[in-house]
Amino acid sequence: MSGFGRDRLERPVVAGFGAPPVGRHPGRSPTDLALDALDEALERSGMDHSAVEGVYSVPEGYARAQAPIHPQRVAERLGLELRALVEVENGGTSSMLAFKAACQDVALGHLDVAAVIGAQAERRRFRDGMDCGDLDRVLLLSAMYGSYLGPYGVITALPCYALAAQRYLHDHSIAPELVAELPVLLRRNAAGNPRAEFREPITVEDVLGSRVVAPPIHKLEAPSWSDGAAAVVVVSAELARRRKLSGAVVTGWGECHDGSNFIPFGKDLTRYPWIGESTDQALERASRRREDLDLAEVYGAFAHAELMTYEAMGFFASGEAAAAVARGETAPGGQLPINPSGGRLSLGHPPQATPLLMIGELFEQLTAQAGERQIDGAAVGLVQAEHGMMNGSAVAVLEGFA
Amino acid sequence: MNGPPPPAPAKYLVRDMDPAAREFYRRLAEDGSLATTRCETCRRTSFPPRVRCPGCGAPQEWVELPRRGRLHAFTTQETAARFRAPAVLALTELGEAVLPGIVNAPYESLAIGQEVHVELRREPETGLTLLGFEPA
Repeated sequence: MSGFGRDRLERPVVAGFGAPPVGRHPGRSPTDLALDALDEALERSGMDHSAVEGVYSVPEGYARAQAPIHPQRVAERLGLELRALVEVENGGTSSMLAFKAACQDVALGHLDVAAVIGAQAERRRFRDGMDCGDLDRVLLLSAMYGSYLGPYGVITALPCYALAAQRYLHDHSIAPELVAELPVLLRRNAAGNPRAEFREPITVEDVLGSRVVAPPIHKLEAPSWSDGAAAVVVVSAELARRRKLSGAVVTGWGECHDGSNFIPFGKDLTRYPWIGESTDQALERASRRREDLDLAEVYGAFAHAELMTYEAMGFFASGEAAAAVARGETAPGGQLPINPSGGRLSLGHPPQATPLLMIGELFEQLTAQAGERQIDGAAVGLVQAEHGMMNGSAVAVLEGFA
Repeated sequence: MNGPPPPAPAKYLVRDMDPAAREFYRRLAEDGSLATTRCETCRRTSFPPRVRCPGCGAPQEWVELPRRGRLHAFTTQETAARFRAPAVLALTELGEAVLPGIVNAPYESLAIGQEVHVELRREPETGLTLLGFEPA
C-alpha cells in the first residue's frame, strides 16, 4: 500500500462520455450543462451517481466571473460524499489536465471512479460586453495577456494567432487557398456529428470570402466562442473488467510547456517543438509509433495554427500540412484521419470543455459508437490539447478496451 | 513604480507585473530608455526581461536595445481594450530581441522585413509608456 492507495499502478479507462450539442444554450449555467453531460456519461457507462468517488472540474469560462470554491458547490448539487474534489485551470488545456488528475488518482489506486466535467456558456455574455457589461472583467482579461501584450489592449488570443499565421504563410510560401481546404474538410466531417455546431457544407471560396477578423485570418478559419459542456467517466481497468465495461484505456501521456505567454518572443512563430516533445513522450510511453495511430483529435483553434500543430506533432514536414490536407491525407479514409469530430472550427469550441469533447470523440471511435463518422477498425487514437497561443501541449494516447 | 496608483484601466496589468517588467516600464517612462536584460555569464539577451537568466540562473544586466529594426509580423485587432483596428499591432526585431508595439501606418502599406524605428508613446489611459513603430 502506498500513501495514495494500492502498491501497483492501475490503468485508467475512459468508460463513459456525455455532451449536449455544442452551440447556444441561453439561460443555462455552465454547471447546469456540465451536470447534464455527467448524467449522460454515467448512463452510457451503466453506472449511477452513487458510484462517483471523485469530481475534477474546470472554471466556468473566461468572460464569466466565478465565485471561489466552485467545486464545493458542484459537490453540493450532486449531494455526494467524495474522495477527490478539485478544479484545474490552465487555459485551453484545463479540462485535459483535469482529466490527467483523474487518471493519476485512478492509476495510483486512490479511487476507482472519477468524473471529469468542463463547460462554458458565455456566448451572449462575451458579445454583450463581458459579465453583464462589467468593464472590470475586460481589464482582468487584458491582464491574462501579460505585461508586454496586455498594455496594447489585447483581450483575445486572435491577434496572437494572426501574427503566427502571417509568418506561416510568408515563411513557407503557402497559398491562402490551400489553408482554406482545412475548414472545408472539417465542415464535411462535422456533417456526421450530431453534436457539431456547424454542419452546412462550405467551399474554399466561402472561407476566403468570409470577413477578415484579424489579417490574415478569415472568420471561417476562426472558432466560434461556443456554449458547450462535456463529461468523461474514468475508471480503473480492474473495475472495468469486473463490471464488463468497454471503453478506451489511457496508454500514454505526454506534456511540454514553453516558458512563454501567448507570444514566444524571439522564437520561430511557425514551429512549436514543445508540441512535438509532448507527442513523442506520449507515443513512447504507449510503445506506439505515429504509423500505429488510426485517428487523432488535435486542438487547432485556428486553421493556420491547426496546420502548424500537425507539423509540430511530426505528422508532416514543416510547411507541408496544408498540401497534405488538400490531398485528403487527414480525411476519413486517409493515412491519418484528424479531427473526424469536425474539429474546433466546425464541432465548435467551448474552450473549457473542448479537451473533454476531443477525448469523447476518441471514446466513441474506439468503442465503435461514432455512427456515420465511424473510422473502420479504430483501435489506437491520440488527443492533443494546448493552452495560450500553443504555448504548451498535452497529449494522451487512448486505445480500445473491452 | 512607487507614487500614485495607476489609472484604473491598468490596475490588473500593473498589479501583476514582476520586478523586471516594472523596471522595463520605469526605464521607458522616466529615462526614455528602451532596454532589456542580458545574462552577465552566458551573455544571452532575453525579452521579456528577467531577474535571473533562464539558461544558467545567473544575475542579469540591463542593456539598451537598438531603436531601428525590421517588422517581424503585424495584424489588427477587431476586439481589444484599446488599439482596435485599424491600429496595427506588430512584432519588431530590435537587435537580438523581438518586441511588440503599434505601427503608425496603415496595415495595407506594410510588409514583413520593412525597416522601422521606435518612437516612445505615453498612453494616458494606462499611464504606461509604450512602443510605437514608424516606417523608416
